[in-house]
Amino acid sequence: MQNNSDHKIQGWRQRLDHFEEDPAPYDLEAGWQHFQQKRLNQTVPSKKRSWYWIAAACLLTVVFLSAQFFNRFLIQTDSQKVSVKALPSLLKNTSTGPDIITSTPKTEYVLVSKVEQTKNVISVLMPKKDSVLPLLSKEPIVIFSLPLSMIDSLQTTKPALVLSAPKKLKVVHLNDINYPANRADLAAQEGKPYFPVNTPTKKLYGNSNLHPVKKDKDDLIRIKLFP
Amino acid sequence: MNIEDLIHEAQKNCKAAEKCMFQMYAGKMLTLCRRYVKSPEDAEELLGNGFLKLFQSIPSFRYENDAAFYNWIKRIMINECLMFLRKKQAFKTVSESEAENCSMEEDLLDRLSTKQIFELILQLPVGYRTVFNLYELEGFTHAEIATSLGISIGTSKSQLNKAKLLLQKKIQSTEAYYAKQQRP
Repeated sequence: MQNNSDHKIQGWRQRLDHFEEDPAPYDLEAGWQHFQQKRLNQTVPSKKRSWYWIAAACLLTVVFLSAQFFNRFLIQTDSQKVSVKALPSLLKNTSTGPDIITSTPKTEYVLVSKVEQTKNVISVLMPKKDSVLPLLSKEPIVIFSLPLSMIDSLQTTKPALVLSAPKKLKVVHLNDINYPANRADLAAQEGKPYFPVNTPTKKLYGNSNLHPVKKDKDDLIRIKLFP
Repeated sequence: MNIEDLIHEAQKNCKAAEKCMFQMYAGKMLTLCRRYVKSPEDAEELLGNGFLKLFQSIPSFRYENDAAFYNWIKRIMINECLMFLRKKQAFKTVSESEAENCSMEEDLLDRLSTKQIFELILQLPVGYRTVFNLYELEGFTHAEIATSLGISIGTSKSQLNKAKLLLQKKIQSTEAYYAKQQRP
């Protein structure tokens, strides 16, 4: 009974599945043309979308190139300036080097090179405390980052900055110094003329008001604190 | 040219093969779409969308047999119809308590022609018709219907039972009408 019912259901399922309305309410040729038109309309937006992407890419390229151009233009106008970050003590030693203009008085200085025609960036690195180079431990390391094309021209021209190492003084005991006590004698030794200069010294007062004692007997030095 | 050759040609973007395929299946698929959306204009629109999807995805189709290809086209069209109905929010949900077991007299369907059954199915409300089509004609389970339509399994069952009851009434009234017509 159940099988019979299933068979019947399958039967009219099949009939409906392959049922085609007759007469067909649909002209197949016109339907195909309509479908082709629809397909064409579907593909147009994708083409438009690709054009948007191309336009966006072109815009980005233009922005990038203009940024590059303006960046180079600014560098060329500022080509004489070389920025250096260094300690003031380092730059004080470069008395024979290029002119120094202090743009930021504390740490940053700007060097103007007389020779260089293009931008040179000089970075000065301070060595670390635990550096393995004992001689350079107190010296700043100067690194010139120059374009390769500039290296040949630099060899033929005057260097931009030459740093001389500060002189190391020999450490001696005070007694070893045979310093003459008298300045007049020192000048005589060196063969220089001596001009005595009266330097102002501390004025010492005794507190004789409080304790009226004789100055000859009092060995204490008393400083007058109030007028 | 058999269907396998047609598929291979269509996979190579051959317009003639595509046109041949369209003419082979458009009539049946339009009837299928009409079973779901009733309106001929909407059905034609869905048929076009379905064929667009078909030709877009045909390069990835692997031919096994003609029936598998036919079922594949049918599935594309049914999905298009269900998407359309979901967009229109055409489903009326019925609470599960209203679900009743209903058995249809198969003899009733035997007494009617395929066209008459088709006409009666089109007269069903959209929710009933969709579930009836999916369950009775496409052979979906209630779980599959619930997933495809975004409804609960109970709702699917109740919609099917109500569809059957309504269809039975319509068949009986149609029979009575034809009986009156036949009487002199």
